Amino acid sequence: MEDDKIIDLFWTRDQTAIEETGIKYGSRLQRLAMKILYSREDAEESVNDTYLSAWNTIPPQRPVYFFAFLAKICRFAAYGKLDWKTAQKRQAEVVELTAELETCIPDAAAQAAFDSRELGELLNIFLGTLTEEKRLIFLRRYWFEDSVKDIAKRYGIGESKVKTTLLRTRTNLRNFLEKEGIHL
Amino acid sequence: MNGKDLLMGLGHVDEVYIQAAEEKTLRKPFGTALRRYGAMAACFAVLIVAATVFYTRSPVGPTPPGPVVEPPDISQPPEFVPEEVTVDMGQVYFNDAIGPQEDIWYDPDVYTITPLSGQAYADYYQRGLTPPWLPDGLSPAKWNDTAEQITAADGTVISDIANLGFYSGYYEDGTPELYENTNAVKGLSLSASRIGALPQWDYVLPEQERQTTDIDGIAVTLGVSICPCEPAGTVEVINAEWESGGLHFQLTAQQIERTDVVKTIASIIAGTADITIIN
Repeated sequence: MEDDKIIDLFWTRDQTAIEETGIKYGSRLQRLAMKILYSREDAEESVNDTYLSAWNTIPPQRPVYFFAFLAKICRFAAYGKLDWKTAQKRQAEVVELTAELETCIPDAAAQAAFDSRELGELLNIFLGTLTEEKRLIFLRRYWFEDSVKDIAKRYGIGESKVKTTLLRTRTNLRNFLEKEGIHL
Repeated sequence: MNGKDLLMGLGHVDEVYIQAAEEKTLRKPFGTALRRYGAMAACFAVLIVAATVFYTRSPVGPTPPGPVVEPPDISQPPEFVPEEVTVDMGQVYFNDAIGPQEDIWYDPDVYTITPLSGQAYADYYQRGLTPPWLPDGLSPAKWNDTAEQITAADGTVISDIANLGFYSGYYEDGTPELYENTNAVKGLSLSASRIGALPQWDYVLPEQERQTTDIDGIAVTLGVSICPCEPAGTVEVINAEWESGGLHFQLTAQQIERTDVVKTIASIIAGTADITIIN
């Protein structure tokens, strides 16, 4: 079923909206949550939380990009369930991603507290400065948490190119945050 | 601020970027593919030349002892067995399209219009044009399996389009039925041409910036546009253009799921209904 029709079901408070959303996007949301949580049960719970949140917010919202809308909710739900203290032991990928992103943080900003929404706005501006290729690779890595190998396979490019692109983009992000972020 | 803050901050980026990262594919530079296949072709050429030189220079002598083995019969080509094709919807890219350009009208007083049907149709296109797989509920239009060849005064064929339609229903005069409440047709039309003179579509981006989708090794340009339909509102129109099997194709679908449109295209390209779509 097309996104618009599913959203119409939400608007008419038809509970098949949840079922249709699950049919179309359930597996993708589950994969996304699994990458963060490494637990099928927790991932399923995150996906169910996503459906509930979508049910509670549509209406009044009418998402233009329905998958992105759901994926954002699901990602937050999964991170909400992630125990960062024990992540060190179990969720190796999340730890690796966090460590990679640490390198983007300018020294001056390391001790400062930032609101994640404001940081998101800043990251939006940064993403807008990137070429499409860099933006897609960066988001596949740090938003969808794909491995370097999966990104290379997805875009038909070499793993070394993915690594190089990520490295340069992280450097650009650090420079960008250095220039902009410390004024937050 | 730490890495965790950045990961969480990324959660707030625009949905348009997230959707693009989920849907878009990267266009491989043409030069890269050309170099790769060029190098492969060169290797094959070297092998063929080497083999030819080796065999033509082999000394001719008495036949060695042993059983005589008949060479394989190559007069009949091996039967083509289509393989199952898988398409990942995550790798399918839909360009923003505006709509079709106006059809060109050919004055019958100036051009010769020759109808093609039956054997002439089959001989000209050299393959059946009905997609091996079609979405449920669609039936063929009565004008299918006929075409018109339009020839200029100097004998040049300037149009050879076969138009096929597959819709949810038809009125008595054979035109596709407007579907229920949407006041729009539900189904798809397929055009094929040997010379490639198909109606053009307008896109938001110029040709060099449009992305193609690889379906079973064929570059397919897919577009999505919105057709206003009163009183229902809007209907999504998917269009696709590609070249395969010596023919140029164009497909337009209204009110058909994107996965079904892609599956139909894949079935035409691969010549099999055995298509797996993964989301």
